Amino acid sequence: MKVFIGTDHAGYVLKEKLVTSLKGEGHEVVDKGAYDDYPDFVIPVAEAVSKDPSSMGITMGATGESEAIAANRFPNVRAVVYYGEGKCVVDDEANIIVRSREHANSNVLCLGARFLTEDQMMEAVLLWLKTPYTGTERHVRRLSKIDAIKIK
Amino acid sequence: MKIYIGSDHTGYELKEKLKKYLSELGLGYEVVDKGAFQYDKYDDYPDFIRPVAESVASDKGSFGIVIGGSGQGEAMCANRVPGARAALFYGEAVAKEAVDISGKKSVDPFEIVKLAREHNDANIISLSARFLSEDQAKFATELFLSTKFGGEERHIRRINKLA
Repeated sequence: MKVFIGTDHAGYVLKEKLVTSLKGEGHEVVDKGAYDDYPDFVIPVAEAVSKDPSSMGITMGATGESEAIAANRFPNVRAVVYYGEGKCVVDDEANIIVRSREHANSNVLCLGARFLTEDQMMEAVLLWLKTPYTGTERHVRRLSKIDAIKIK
Repeated sequence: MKIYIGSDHTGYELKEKLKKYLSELGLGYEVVDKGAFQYDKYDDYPDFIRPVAESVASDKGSFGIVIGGSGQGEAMCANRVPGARAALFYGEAVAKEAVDISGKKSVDPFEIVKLAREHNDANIISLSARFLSEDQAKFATELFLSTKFGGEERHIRRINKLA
């Protein structure tokens, strides 16, 4: 899997570790740098994923929220946010990361680095990369309705 | 203040409760419902989320509330609309580090919601019906609507880079 990575300055050290770890797992990692302003690293990651639908992207910022706002403005990009485990209040024990792959076919993961430990981030990334999209008809139909929104 | 709200079947019940709650607060919130208007387990969330995002983007000063199972797909859908800035809230989380450049620490479990307004000027909150209690959803919504954008130069610069 080709994985594009970008971060703000706070995530720089972890990015280096993540790059090494993902390469060790056999992924092709492309580093899109570390910058102060989230659009400066999110836009290159989102553009790359937008052009290569088989690739995935990972960003690290304070909460992950602004990174997902920026990334989702690009066609074919489906960015999700992860800032903590969360707790399912109904009985299905759903996992935020698993759900984001299975239902939403997410291809960019925006980590809220100030709210997560390094171990939590690493765990989330590995779970996210290995969880497949179900491709169920209703999810395909819903995502096609999102794709119908013309950007710019 | 005008608030557009929308959800598919998963958040239908929570949407109805939030509508009532916001109207009864007496804070001048005018809630505009973009559907679903009935419970239909076969409906598709973009049919309701897109109208909310388009309304917020074209109505300066308004806010949006969208609800889904996790809220991820809904935030994704809303953020496709230029001018919409949707932040996701699926549960409480306490920051492990300082939450901004000044070194400010926070123990607030709803800090994610505050930062989305203060730093990102988010105009839509995406709520998770499956990961939030009714009370958490109400509290997060009220906090989101009452928190002001900080307007700091670096935050404005970043938002402008999205245009």
